[in-house]
Amino acid sequence: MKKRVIGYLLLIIVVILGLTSFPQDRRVRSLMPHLPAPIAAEKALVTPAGQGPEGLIVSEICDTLNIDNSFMYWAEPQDLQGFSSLIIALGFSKQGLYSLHKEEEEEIARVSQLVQAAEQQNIPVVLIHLGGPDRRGAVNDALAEILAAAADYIIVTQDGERDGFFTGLATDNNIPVTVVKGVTLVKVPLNSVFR
Amino acid sequence: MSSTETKKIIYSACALILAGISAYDGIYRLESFGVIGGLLEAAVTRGDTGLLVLASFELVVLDTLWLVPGILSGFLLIDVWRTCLPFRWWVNYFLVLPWVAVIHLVLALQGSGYSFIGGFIVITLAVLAVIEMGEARESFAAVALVVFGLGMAVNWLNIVPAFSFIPISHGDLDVGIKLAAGFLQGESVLNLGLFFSVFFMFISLVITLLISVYLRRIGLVEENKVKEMKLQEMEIQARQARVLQEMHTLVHDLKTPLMTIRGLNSLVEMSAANEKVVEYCRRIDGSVDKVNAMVSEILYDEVRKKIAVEELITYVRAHVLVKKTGQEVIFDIAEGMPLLEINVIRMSRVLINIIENAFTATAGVRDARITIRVYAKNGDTVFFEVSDNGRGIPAGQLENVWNWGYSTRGNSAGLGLAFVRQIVKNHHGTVEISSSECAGTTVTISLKGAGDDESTDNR
Repeated sequence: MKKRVIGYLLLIIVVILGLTSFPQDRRVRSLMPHLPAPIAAEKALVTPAGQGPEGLIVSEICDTLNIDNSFMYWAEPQDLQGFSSLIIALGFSKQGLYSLHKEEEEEIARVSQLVQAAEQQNIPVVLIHLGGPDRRGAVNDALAEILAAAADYIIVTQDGERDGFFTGLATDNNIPVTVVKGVTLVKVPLNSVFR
Repeated sequence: MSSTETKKIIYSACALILAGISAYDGIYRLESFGVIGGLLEAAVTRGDTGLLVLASFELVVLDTLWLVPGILSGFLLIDVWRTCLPFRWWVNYFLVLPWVAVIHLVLALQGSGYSFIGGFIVITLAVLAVIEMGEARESFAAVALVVFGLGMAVNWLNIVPAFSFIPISHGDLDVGIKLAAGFLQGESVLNLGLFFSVFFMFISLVITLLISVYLRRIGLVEENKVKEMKLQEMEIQARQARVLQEMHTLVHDLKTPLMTIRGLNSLVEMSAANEKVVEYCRRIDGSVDKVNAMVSEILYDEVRKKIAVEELITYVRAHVLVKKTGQEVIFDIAEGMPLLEINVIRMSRVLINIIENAFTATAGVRDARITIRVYAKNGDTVFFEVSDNGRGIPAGQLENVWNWGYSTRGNSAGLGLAFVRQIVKNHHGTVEISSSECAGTTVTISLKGAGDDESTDNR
């Protein structure tokens, strides 16, 4: 009995040590806390890329900043009419797509067409990534590459930037990027886009 | 197909269905988005962290309902097929790990992207709990309860932002809830999920220990009961052996005076001048021979003597009717029955015992009647049927009447019917009892008849 208790205690210690040995947050220093001058005008169209709840969160942040915006889960090129800027919140969610009865390919095509249309109409595009490492991976990164090619500014939380992926994209596409610590700190760079 | 094989197939099919529930990415996670996603939207737009907690609770329950069937399917399969597995019993349970890994592989192929670590922790804890549960692991419901509690405990950790560095699950909805909490600055509220996690872990631990301790106690009580019964049985056997020993000594001692009677009787016969005295002496000698034979039968169970059924009944009737206490006793003896080759004394005691029981059962009963029927069937089997219209025996006690020491009467040692069965068995016969309460009892003994040869074997 005593041996068994010791065994269980050892197991618990091993599990705790194992779990705490997972990589902790690496501090990423933001080179640009916000834009030096506004690059876009209101009214903004907010839409998710990947159908995660990030789009709605960004729209709510815009509301708190009194940025005139409309939120659409499935915004298409024709929906850009009447908008002066496009904010895309990146975050691929299989469940989000399922709730709209859409496929992954349809979402990628929609996002591509939307940013192409914005580029043609000279509508500035802001890419925001809030989801951290859980919103990275094949589809998210593919969407990020498509978006970065047409984006005018990238805002990313530092959890999702551990590997320098977004700063790399910004450098490749020659666009400014701001890395923030958390979701609430997105407000400052986002405000600088308009004011 | 045997019932065990059928059970194995049914249980395996159930296990595969359970595994299928866990292996299909769509059932809980995708369809639940409508409900949880709605709550999430409402929480973000209204700035209500309470709705986030509600969404978290629903997600934890759904995640657990998704995870637990796969783990239970593993336990079920191991329980069914453990006899075919070469490992020690407790090692078998660790096979749940690769089994659930297969389920997660199927999930990964569907592109779910869920981490196996949460499931791994639940399985490891569940295996340890099941091993600790002892015999209770046979109860599927108990195992399911413990695994569900552990699942809830670990899945709550998915929601706790402070544990985000552990890749427990990190599904779409977990991430969404934590993002919303970050936006609403409600991370401290979600961190309270740690208390729920600890609570469910504690509940699972308590259930495991309670079940384990309870079953161990039950096991000990049953073990003690069996030991007590064995002890009682041994006491009865010892008492019976002592009685038999006493009886043997007593009966054996009878032989000495018998020999003296025979010796002196032959002296009297030799010295007698009167013809009548000589005749009497010969009769005394004949009687001594009979008593000698009876003593041998009492002493040695294997001694057999061929006897007519009528003669046996006459002997029994002589002993029984002396004790008659008012009941009507009817002897119905068929004619032309085969001879019996039996230990007369012991078989007489058997019949007397049964008839005496009938007397006791009918004591005080109005119009009490005891019927002793003797008849032959199939030409060579003799049936002794003793029936009465007495109090009868309750149905629940009928099976126990043959046990040593069992009696429905307080003043009886409970050896009578056990003795009856033992003697009948030694004679390769059968004895049956049928009874209904307040209607009466019938005891039937069947014995094989001997051939027509009238020779007597007095070994």
